[in-house]
Amino acid sequence: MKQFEITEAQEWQLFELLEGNLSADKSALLHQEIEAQPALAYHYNLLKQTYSSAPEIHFPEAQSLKKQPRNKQVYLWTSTAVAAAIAILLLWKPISTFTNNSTLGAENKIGRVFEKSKLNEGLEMPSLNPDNAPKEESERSANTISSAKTQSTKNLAGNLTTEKTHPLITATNDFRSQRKDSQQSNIVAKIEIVKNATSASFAQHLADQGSIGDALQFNNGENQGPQILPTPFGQNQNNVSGTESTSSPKAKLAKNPSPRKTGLALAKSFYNDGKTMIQNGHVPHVNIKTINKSHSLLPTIQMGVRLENNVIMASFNQ
Amino acid sequence: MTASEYNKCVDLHSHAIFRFAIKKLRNTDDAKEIVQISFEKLWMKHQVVAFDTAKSYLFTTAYHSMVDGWRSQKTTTGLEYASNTVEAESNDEYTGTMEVIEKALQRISDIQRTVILLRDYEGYSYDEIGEITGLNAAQVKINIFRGRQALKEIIGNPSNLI
Repeated sequence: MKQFEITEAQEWQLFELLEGNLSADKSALLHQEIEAQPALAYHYNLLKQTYSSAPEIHFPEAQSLKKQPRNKQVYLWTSTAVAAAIAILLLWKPISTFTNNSTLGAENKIGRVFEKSKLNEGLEMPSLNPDNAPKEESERSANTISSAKTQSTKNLAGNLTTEKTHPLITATNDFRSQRKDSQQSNIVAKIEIVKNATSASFAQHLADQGSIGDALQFNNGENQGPQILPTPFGQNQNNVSGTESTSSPKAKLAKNPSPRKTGLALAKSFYNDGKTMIQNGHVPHVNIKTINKSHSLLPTIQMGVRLENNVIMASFNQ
Repeated sequence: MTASEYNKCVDLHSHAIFRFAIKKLRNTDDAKEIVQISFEKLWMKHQVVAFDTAKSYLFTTAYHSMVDGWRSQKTTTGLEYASNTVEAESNDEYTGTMEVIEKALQRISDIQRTVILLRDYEGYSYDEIGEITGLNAAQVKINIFRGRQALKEIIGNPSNLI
């Protein structure tokens, strides 16, 4: 082997030749030397063997690395959102059917009439002044409620005899009948108060009852009659005390402001209000919106269920 | 780079990355993981990396993932080595000198093996290999030379492999 030894410079020249770094003239000259010198030819052949071609190796999981085009992703997410909305609507449908067609329909109608008489007709309450209060109006209100009661009784009887009674109706019959009775008796009592009210006696009754309307304001000095202000949802305040009959409810509220509700209490209040709304026949709405439109990430979708009066029943991110 | 261009990169370069990783690591599972890591990083930056430079990005990512040593530091037992490399070599038709070179490549230093693989298998220039490995062109060239010198010594005297 010693007769085939070459210098480092010669080896570098062979390397440069095989790498293709030499010009055509230098390459030709070096090839002539290789042919003339066996040692150079020996090392040239060995060095040439160190150059290998790429073997055929395939990555077996190439398909799993591929990504879906973005427009397809959006389509899939949209489909998912629509499917979720439909699913939620289908889930809510039995509840709305239940509230519309079941015995709760009686409560609904009574509740609605009472709500109207409390909120809308409350704006006309100055006419309850004995000087200019038409009794026909309060009588009409009472007749409406009594007719609603009659109708609801019929509906109640009809539903109880039909085969389409929902299992939930049967299961909650006792609770709802107790609730219905108490609510109807309250309504009748309150209508009686309205019918027989004068400005002063009405104020006195309300102060003593402390239950009709949640935030009442009286302005007896200007003889404008009582004004009933509807309370925002979730802020019901039934703590108006009737013990101090000499001062107005407004003054009582100023003296004894309702305690500020904590987050948990507020959540409970919202839940109870929403539950009542659904039982009274309000249809829940499903909202879906994209809250993250960054195209580098998948869109985040927020879904919410709210009632007609914008009470948010549930909200969650997808 | 769009998603379709990224998918095209998968078709064009996944096999080459896998081949590069398997020749360096000699372990099929580790090589698959390196390919997946490389393409995952490419997808995360597909809005920044252009389609033309994707191959270089992939090789650079694969090389650095291997150099990081989370797998290369792991000592492989002889049995594990044999069981994992059989599958890798099953597609190769090594005969004679090719088999000797294949074994000789495992005897040279890691950087020499890397630059020779990139040069021979992928046809990269010294500058491109330098971008991938973090060396300059002169360093790449000298490492290729030293690596080939070592390979030549082994091929010239196969008893060195025993």
